[in-house]
Amino acid sequence: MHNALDDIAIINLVLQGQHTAYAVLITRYQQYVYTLAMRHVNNRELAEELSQDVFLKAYRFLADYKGTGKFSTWLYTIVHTTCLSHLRKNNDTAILLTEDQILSLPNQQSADPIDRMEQQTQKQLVEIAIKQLPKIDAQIITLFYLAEQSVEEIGIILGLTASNVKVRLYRARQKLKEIMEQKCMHELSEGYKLTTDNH
Amino acid sequence: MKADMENIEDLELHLWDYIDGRCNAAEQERIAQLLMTNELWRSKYAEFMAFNTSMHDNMAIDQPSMRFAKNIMDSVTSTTIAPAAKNYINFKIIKGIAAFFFIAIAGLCIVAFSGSSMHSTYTGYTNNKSSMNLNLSLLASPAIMNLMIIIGILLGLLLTDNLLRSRDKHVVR
Repeated sequence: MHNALDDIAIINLVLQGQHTAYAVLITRYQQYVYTLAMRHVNNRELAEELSQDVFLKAYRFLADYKGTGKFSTWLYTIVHTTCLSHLRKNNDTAILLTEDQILSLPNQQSADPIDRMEQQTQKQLVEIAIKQLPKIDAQIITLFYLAEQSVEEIGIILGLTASNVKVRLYRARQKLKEIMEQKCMHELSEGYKLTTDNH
Repeated sequence: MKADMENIEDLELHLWDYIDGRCNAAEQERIAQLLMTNELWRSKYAEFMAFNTSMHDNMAIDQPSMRFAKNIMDSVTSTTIAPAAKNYINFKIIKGIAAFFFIAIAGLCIVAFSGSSMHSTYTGYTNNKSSMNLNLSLLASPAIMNLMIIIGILLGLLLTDNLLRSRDKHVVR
């Protein structure tokens, strides 16, 4: 019933006492919130726990949302602060894969390297490349391409200046391109080596 | 070589601004012209557009468990929405505390500098030494110290009272 309403209208309904309308906001943003939490903690159970915490915090402090910016930007700011405070409390550090680990990541189960190369979808390649980025850059890329936030909005979410976000986005794009090209070249050379060995 | 790298980086940054729609009208027109006439700009543009399309099409979104929304809604029923912060934060008190500290610091400076002696000595070709002795003993007098302590205690009591009152209000709500 509330699905067609925009975020502000739903928030007003919730604030007026129709708390069931909040389910629409959860359904609308759960995947984005969960994906962003995954970029922080890289653990499904923990990301889900943190995402639930984010939605509960957002509900509790819904009256503080001023409506000047997008609700999604406000919500993703809560994701960022919740995940950061969790990581600080648990003294977690970023788990980055080394270049060799990235190159040796398992692909689909086919034995034939050419089949394997064909099976390896572009989606996997993008995911692998994003995992290789520093956490903050992975978040910027996710917020920009997936959550469709502007450079200024990303700055608000991550507490950075817009120019800083712009430069980081540029570097992250460069790095992603490099990793994806490197991974493709590695697969090609491995495939070529194995086919010439078979002959 | 380094200059070439910087040029390329500059080109790429401008091109990304153009693609992301972050250019002003004049810049947009200039880049559009370059894309029509310059092969390097054209090839970079094609490369970046392909990258953008690939990112938009291939970024995977993670799915939480099926019970995710239900779990939150279960918790939401037992949660009350807190009143907006602007309703319970008394900005007059914050401004009052800020004013007190500002006046206290200004007062301290005035007292300290009024009791100081400042003189300049010319000792040679270029050496111009000045020394300033602050008479801090004026501030360390028992009367001023007692006054500071009393004001500090009063402010502390006011703050505690305000905190307890706001907490009581939330409990009642």
